[in-house]
Amino acid sequence: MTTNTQRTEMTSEQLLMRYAAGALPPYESMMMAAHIALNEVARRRFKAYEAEGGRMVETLDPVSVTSACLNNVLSIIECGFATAPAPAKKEVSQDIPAPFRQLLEKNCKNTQLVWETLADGVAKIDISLCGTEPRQRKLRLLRLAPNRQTPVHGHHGYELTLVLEGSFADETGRYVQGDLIVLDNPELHHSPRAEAMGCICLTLTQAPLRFTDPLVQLMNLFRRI
Amino acid sequence: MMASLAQAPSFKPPLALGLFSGLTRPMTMHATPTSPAQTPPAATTSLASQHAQWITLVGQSKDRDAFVGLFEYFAPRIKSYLLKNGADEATAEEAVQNTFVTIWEKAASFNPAKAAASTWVFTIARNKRIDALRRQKFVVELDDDSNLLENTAAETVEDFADSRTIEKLHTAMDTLPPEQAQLVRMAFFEDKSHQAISDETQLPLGTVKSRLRLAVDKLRHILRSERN
Repeated sequence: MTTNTQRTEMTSEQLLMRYAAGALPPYESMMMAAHIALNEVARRRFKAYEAEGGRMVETLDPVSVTSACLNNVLSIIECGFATAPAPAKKEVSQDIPAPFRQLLEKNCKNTQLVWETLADGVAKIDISLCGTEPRQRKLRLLRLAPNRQTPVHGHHGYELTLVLEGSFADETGRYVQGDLIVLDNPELHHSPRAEAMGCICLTLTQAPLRFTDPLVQLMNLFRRI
Repeated sequence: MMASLAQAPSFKPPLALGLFSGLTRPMTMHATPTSPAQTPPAATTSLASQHAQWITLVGQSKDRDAFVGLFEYFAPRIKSYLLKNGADEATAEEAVQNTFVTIWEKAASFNPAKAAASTWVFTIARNKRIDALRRQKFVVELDDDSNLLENTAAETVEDFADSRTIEKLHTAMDTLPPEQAQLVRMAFFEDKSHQAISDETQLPLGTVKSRLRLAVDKLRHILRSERN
């Protein structure tokens, strides 16, 4: 499993660290939660950064806490806890890879998670986490049928892609389950192609893709990607 | 508020209590008789394993003395962490409060083989900080990520590898030049922007960025060198 990073301030290492520190916005947090669920190497590093956070807390100079604070805590725990209500049942496509499906069901605001066909062999699910994200930013599941290739395109702003299932290849390399790809190169135009098993990815884009081929733009085939 | 109770807590202060004197002892305790915390001889036990034991006692038997011990050690440090992260006094106290309610609630799930007490407490405080400081209340559940993978057979091996990586990172952080380590802490654990760091350290923005990049590259190389 590899993590490929191209020319970016926000490297995968920084993402891991910031995630461990609790400093990432929701979409990026979801991306990293899925990444460490699928990628053992990333998970180990993430835990190391968390341990570093624990060590840091221990070395901080203590600041006095009011006695009311402890008394409040004691009175709250005395009362017992209301059990959290069970989350509402959602309609969820069963072919969303299992680890990520659990994460989604627990955290997303979507009332249903079902594939929407974009073009032959291409489907997506837009994910909503708190409903306050800028409209231009999209966190989405993208499913490519076996050997399906997307048209050549470029990006505005950085893009994160996590392979949840299957594999794909593009001009920069070949990527398998658990790989996180950080793209932050406005010059790069690529056309990912799913390999024989097809591919399901989680992608985070800052703005709509820029399709290179004017014919594709015209056909508006992928206008919603 | 809770009913006041005459009984003074039988709690014995933990080793580190002398470090901070501002904390007032709890004024009230509860009617349910609490067994005295089974405090092992301090000289032979490190602070870290003392804390792990307290969390375990809270998890197993809802031991209030152990809980108050945790509070007295960690609350002032968590508050310090929250203040450094930009919380105001009231927000910090509330987040400390929420952190400890969750510590009480989740103590049974603490596994000393998997995480140090300080790490476990940090992750809870971090999540409360996310709750408190972000308008959009959102936190992905991080602590039960291991069961997403259903790879329990490999867990022991994994725990071992985890602890090696953790050791490695500790060493790496310690061997960073102090000015780089400081920037890493500010950027990642105090959640400060490059500009804020530049203002605070009086370093030019470009220097902050390049030092950070250098430090992160170094950490990444050290962590990857073992190739997992």
